[in-house]
Amino acid sequence: MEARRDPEKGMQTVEEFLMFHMYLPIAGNSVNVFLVFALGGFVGLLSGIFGVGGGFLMTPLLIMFGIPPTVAAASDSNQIVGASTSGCLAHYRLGNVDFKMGFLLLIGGVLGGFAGVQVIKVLRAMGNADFLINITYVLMLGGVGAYMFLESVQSLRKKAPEASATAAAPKKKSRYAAMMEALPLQTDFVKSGVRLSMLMPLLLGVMVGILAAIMGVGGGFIMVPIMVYLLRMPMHVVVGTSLFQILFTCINVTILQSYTNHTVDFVLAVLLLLGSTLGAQFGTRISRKLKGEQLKILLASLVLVVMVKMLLNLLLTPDVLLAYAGGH
Amino acid sequence: MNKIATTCLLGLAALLLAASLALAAGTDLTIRPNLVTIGTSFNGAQLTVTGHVPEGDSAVIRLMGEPQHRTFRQKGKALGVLWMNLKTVELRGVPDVFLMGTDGVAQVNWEHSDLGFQSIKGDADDLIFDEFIKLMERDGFYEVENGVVAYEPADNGERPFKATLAIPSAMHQGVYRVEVLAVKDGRVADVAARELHTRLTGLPEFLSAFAFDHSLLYGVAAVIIAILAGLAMSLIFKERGGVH
Repeated sequence: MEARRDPEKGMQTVEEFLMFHMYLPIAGNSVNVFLVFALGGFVGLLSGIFGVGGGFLMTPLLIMFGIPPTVAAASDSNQIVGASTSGCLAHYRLGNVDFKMGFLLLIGGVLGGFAGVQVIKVLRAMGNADFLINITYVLMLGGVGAYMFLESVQSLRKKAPEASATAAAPKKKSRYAAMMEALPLQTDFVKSGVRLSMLMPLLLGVMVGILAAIMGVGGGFIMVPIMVYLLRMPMHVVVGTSLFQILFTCINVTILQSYTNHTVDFVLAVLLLLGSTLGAQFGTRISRKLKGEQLKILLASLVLVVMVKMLLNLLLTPDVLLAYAGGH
Repeated sequence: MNKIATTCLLGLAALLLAASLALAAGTDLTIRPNLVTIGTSFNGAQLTVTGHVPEGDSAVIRLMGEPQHRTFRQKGKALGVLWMNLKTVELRGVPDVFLMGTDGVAQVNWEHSDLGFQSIKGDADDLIFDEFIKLMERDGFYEVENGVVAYEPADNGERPFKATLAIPSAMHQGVYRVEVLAVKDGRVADVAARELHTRLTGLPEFLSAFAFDHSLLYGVAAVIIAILAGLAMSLIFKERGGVH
């Protein structure tokens, strides 16, 4: 924008473009436009491929660029609204969004979110909220990542290359499957090709909502494995449906944060958006080219990397022993 | 009688001396600009400080925001191994920005001198205050720049100086105090100060007002624009013949 207003001087060389800065009114700092655009593109790519919001990656990087933690997290939610709209539509065209399942998970998620906020209040009152949050985070990521990784490596080895992910489910009837069938309100989820009680997605949605609120994340990382393993949905539909659900969660967070804390930086969100909506489109195309098992392995690796990084943060002595209040 | 007269004379002499110092060889400064506007393309600014100190003194420039109460989380070890935010600590009367410029001649550790960051320490705990300075320096809010003050030959008992300070991009809208300390033998002989104002203009001013005065509308608008951006990108890619 600025460049067009000043055609004589602005951006005549690549170098000038790479160094172009813009001031963010709510964050109260200026950022390198190109860097933020690239960051948005990368995270958008991830959300298109895996159906995760990418807040786990975006927020710490933005903090590194000098954005206050609360503004980073809230503006990231605003940005995810754009990226997930873009990704969700692209997946919808491929027939990868199960709206019925998505709505049920969403309702559960909203209820769980309210419950989670109350849990946080109790934990804070008890005084060791940070400890519990960090431990939950590492254990969850470690457990989910390791299970997903091992499971997909095994099934890649076992399976004939033709067989799809859905074929694995009906083979043996575990106790879990029997319990699922015993629940009332059984219904068909056509897009996912599964028959389940409506209570299942609702309850799991509540659980993810609670965890997401406690951990202060969007929940894509927990939601995706739950849809794969507990709801037994095919991986590609999981990605599309997860994006659909994330879209609504982030709309809610953006409006709430703007209203109560004034922490959404619109300029920052738009810069990120330009990159992430583009990235989400490419991500969806990459996602389509990968098999369900390959997607799972990649996501599992990503989850494990994040877990290791968190663990290192906990174990290594920090450079500075003070942090700004208000962040996670 | 005699005693009183002497005291009076001495007092008068001191007054005259002080007056003449203030008139002829006092300390003064001018800052340029004295209003920094923060527009869309703001990425920090240069502040030029010119003035004079009495001959023989050295000039130390300080730029400070208003003192505030600030809370931080202090990290500590939980269970003896895991680092995390354990408690909340409060610091009283610390400015959000503290920049210093010196001539770099004297071998003084300004961070730890009474004229530097120590001047705002108050009754804060040593460890916490040190970590606070580290955090502020890491993020560019506190800085000592040695060698930015240059002198011109003294004239008429005045020593003119010129200094350039780099104002960080993370300055908030507000009023800052820029002062020059005339330092002699490590002590402040004289002080002069000016106010520096920073103000949002253009798009940042508009968005900031929108976000704080109409916060609900702002949130809804932010969401709608994000959705439209997602839709637009999705349509562009569809029309480019991105086959299913």
